[in-house]
Amino acid sequence: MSIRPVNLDEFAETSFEDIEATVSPVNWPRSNTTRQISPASSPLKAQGGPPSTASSESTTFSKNQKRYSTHTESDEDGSAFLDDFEEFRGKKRDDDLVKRHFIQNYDSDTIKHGPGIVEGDNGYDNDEDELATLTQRFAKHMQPSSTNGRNLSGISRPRKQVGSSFHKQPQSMLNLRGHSRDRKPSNGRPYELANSRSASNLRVASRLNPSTVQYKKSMPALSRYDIIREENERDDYDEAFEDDLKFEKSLLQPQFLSDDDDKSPLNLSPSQYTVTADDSLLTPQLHKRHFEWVKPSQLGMFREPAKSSKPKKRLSASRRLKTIKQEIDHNTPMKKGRMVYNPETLTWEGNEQALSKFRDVDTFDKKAIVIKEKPELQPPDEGGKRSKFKQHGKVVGRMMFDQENLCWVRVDGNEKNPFKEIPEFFPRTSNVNVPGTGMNGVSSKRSQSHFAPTRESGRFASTATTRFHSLGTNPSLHDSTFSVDSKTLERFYHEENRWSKKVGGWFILRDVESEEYDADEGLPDSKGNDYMYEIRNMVISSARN
Amino acid sequence: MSSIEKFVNQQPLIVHSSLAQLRYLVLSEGLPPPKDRSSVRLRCSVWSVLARCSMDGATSDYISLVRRGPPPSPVYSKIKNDTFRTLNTDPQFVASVSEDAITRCLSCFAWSVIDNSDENMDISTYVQGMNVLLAPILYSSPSEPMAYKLFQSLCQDHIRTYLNQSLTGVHNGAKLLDMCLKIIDPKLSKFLTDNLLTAEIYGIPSVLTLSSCTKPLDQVCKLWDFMFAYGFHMNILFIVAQLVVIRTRIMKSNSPMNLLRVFPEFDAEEIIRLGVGFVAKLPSGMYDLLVEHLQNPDLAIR
Repeated sequence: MSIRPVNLDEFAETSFEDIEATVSPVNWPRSNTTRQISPASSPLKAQGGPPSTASSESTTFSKNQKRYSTHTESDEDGSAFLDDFEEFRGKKRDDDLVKRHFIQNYDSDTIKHGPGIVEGDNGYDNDEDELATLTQRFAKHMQPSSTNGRNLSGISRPRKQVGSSFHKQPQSMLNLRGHSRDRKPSNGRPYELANSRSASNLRVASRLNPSTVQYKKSMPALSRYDIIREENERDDYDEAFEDDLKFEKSLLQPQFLSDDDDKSPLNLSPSQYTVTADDSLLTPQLHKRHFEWVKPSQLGMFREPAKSSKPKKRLSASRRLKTIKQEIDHNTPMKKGRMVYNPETLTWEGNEQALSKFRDVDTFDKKAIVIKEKPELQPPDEGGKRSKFKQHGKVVGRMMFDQENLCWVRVDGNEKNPFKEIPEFFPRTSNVNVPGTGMNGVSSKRSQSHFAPTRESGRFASTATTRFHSLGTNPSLHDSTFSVDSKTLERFYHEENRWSKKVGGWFILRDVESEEYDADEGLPDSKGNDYMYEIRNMVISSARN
Repeated sequence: MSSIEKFVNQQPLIVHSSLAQLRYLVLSEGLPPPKDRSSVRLRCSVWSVLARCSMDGATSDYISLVRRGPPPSPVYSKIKNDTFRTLNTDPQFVASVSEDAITRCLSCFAWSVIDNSDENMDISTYVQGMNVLLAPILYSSPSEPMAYKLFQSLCQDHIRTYLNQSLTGVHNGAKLLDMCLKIIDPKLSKFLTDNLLTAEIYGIPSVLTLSSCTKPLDQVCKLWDFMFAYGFHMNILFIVAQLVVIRTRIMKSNSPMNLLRVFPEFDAEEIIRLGVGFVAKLPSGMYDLLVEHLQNPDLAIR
């Protein structure tokens, strides 16, 4: 929960966009202008309500009072704020539609009844006095709201409720406001019920030890605040912030109370209200899933019936991807079969044994794609004493598999090591010119010439100089000339396939023809050397004419 | 897309007649110079079709040969002795073809000759000049395996008399070059013989490498387009044409051999036009010899 002490002048609205806008270092110092600008850049500017000075109620709050805005969305799911925000934004478009119908209410109501706004004066000393009066007022307003059946319909769609619950009961709000305006038009105390500090005070009073729980919840928001403070290094702001910190614990309240109280499920009996349908009552993880449960059905309602199955598939696929991503983001340990996801290491665990097999190959040569014969990783014991009696493997006939050296040996042990003479071969990853043999001495002559760099970029550029590849299996050969890396090999096959596609048709009939002609003519051309006379025939005939 | 590309990319109804049409298209329209990848692919396609050289399995064959490493050391040392200087004064070639590619292709060819040594092919594992012969093919192929395959087809099917142990075809070609020059340009022929300059002295490189030792490489490719289409025996006439083009310079020169050691740069279209024109001047028996000297290793001219 982000409880933010805010000067009224600085904030006219509390929406998700505004949180971003207001925490930016640019916007903080310029209080009045920022307020005008930030809603303009926000897609929710109309919804957020006009600047407080413009509305009739603003006079009430303009006496250097401070507001405590509670960001409901981040409260509900602080760790996945951005995720929620994305979903929330999409929903806002719907709200815009609703908003048009109730535009008049917004102008006056949003300041007080906007989502996640908890207002209160800074009369901390007067808390005790206020408590009594506010309790009365709160109780008054609770009465109609608890009996108001309409609220249930709003709750049945929790996603809507989170951000724009006040859209659904415009009339009830109007009524409330009408009452309060009549009663205390000029009083400095906040009179709005839903988001008033009195409501929070009630809650605080009703709990024995509210500070511990709420303090925890507010931590992320506070830390965010500190960062901003460091960036700004504004003394006046710091002071204000320090003051506001005092209120923090007592003024905190859970997000489900920060909303319009008319709708609060706490006021309903369990039979009237489905708990699982309300995001605000669920833990973040459940809340998340709940979104997943509700979403498809909601989308289904708006989906056009005549749609082809293709977009449907895409939708479900993307949603599935999203689900996985979110689960990982939430650091939720997952389990699929025998595999367990470890969110700390960001890895799936449970197949270490299977992976270890590949690890051996990897450490030998990471780029190997064609390994015809795998050189022995461990040299056979030169002394001839095999470890076969220690590590018994398979025994087939008189042969036994030596698991250490990965080879078959005779059971009776009378065997010479055929690889004894051959020196060990370890592929080198760096490009080192092989010195020594006369032929290679010649090759270096050219590769050291000034043409060498340009050659590397050519069509037949030697790939061996950039990467080693174990295509050359002759262990005694270290000549990089005869190693072709996988990329080049791929290109070779690509070009051959391309050729086959383009001009392969010219050779389909060749077999039939070759049966007839190849017997007497070595040339693959069906007519032997006839084609060599073609030009002569053309020249002779043209000379005659 | 040029008409020649369209034609090559569609499956022919009757291969034999389609080949004749393709040859005519190469003669009349020509192929674009191998500047970009698509033109390289087109040239390789046309050459392989004209040479009746299928690229099926080229890559796997090539890779299996590459995997065997360098051929036996006397052959490999000969190869390595030449690869680094293959057209190394041609920056375009050097930029597009690596020395390793030349080495690999020549080594693979050597291995294939060693493998087929019992088949009475009598082709050398490697002779000097093969590297230059390979150069235009590598330059005009999109991949090494295809270049190797085309090179193998050229050496074993089209100019196999050139690459045997004693290079009989090349020497026969030199003799034919002298004979053709005598028929076509008797005056120049007399001038050269007076200076004791026979084709055996000045013409062997051009004969053996099918004129690919002459610059520029793009013009060599054009010349090869024609020769893949109508036969590599035409190379003898093209050498005559190159001599005829510079005949006045040769005849005025105090040391004509200096001019003939390395032929000056040529224009392929001009050389082809001249060379084709010479065909009409040759008696049919001479033309037969030109064709035969590429195919009959037992042919003895004069």
